[in-house]
Amino acid sequence: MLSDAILILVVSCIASAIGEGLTWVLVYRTERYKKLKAEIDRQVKKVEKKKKDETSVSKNKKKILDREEGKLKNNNRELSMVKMKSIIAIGVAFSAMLSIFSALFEGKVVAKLPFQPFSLFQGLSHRNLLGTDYTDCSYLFLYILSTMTIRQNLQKALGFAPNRASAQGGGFFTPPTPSK
Amino acid sequence: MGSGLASKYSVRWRESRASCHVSWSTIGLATFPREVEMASDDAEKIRVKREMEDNESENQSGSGKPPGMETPRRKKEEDIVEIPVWKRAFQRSAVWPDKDEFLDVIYWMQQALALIVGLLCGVLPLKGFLGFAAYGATSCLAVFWYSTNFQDVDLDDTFGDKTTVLKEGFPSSLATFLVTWIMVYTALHAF
Repeated sequence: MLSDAILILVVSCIASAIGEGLTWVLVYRTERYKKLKAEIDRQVKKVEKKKKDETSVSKNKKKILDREEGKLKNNNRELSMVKMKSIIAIGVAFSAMLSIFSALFEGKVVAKLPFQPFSLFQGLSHRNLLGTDYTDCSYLFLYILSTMTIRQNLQKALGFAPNRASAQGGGFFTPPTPSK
Repeated sequence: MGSGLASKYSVRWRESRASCHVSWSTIGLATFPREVEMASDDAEKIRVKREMEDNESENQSGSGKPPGMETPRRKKEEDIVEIPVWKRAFQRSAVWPDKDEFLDVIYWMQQALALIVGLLCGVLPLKGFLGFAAYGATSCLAVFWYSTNFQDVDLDDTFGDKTTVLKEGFPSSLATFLVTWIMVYTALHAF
């Protein structure tokens, strides 16, 4: 049982590495991404600084601040469009790994959970497993958990993680604000 | 027509002068009287721009960093910043000019903590809700102790609220904790 769990962990490392590698090739290396990222970082700093000295906000500064934020949102939107390619690449890598796993580990107990998952997660952790002992863990649950961990840490370590302010600034789904 | 031409040239000259402010003062040729009244609205635009630049430069020399951190003026800060982030992470009440850096330190601390607590819970073994409670308690206590006592960062001033530090990297540190806990538990107690 343990060897299966370790295998899943290793394979999810590989899948994350492939995903990040693909993203690097498709997106992070391109000029457009670098230019956009630099611009966004600068704008985020500027907007944050302007927001901070809220006290002396004259009419003009408010207008300039809004325009800056509008530009920032548009850049964010564009950045997520550029990243769309990488999201697709990672999706493909993730589901390819998943199909390999389901062939290998279908119906096998891969790990023992030291806790009883909520009913919400039972569908995940007890997927296609026989019996009703819900502390049995299927490959899917472990794979998703380890991918979550490894990918985020990998992105953070390689510096690909989006910086915090722009991440909250609304990404792909916010409608483009017309820059005045 | 002449005056229009003159004002146009002086506008362009003034704009270039506004941008290369330093070079003029160093050469000491700042003979052009700054307050020459110009009728056209260009003057208005330039004054607004000048006012913003003055504000920004005043702002920089004043307290360029979030007010919450009482640290020396910006000039002295530049030579302190040379210390790499991970060294400053272990320094008592270090200087944090950029709050993102501080959040990165918190993020990696959360990850390390999740790993350690996961290991402990797996070895003991802690089961069920106890494990989650142990992880939740230690991560909250550690983050608060680290940021307020060890680093003297005033959470409310720098981040606006206390929970930003807690939420930093939360989903992935929980996942790290769970994976470690499950793996160690399976390895030691599953047979």
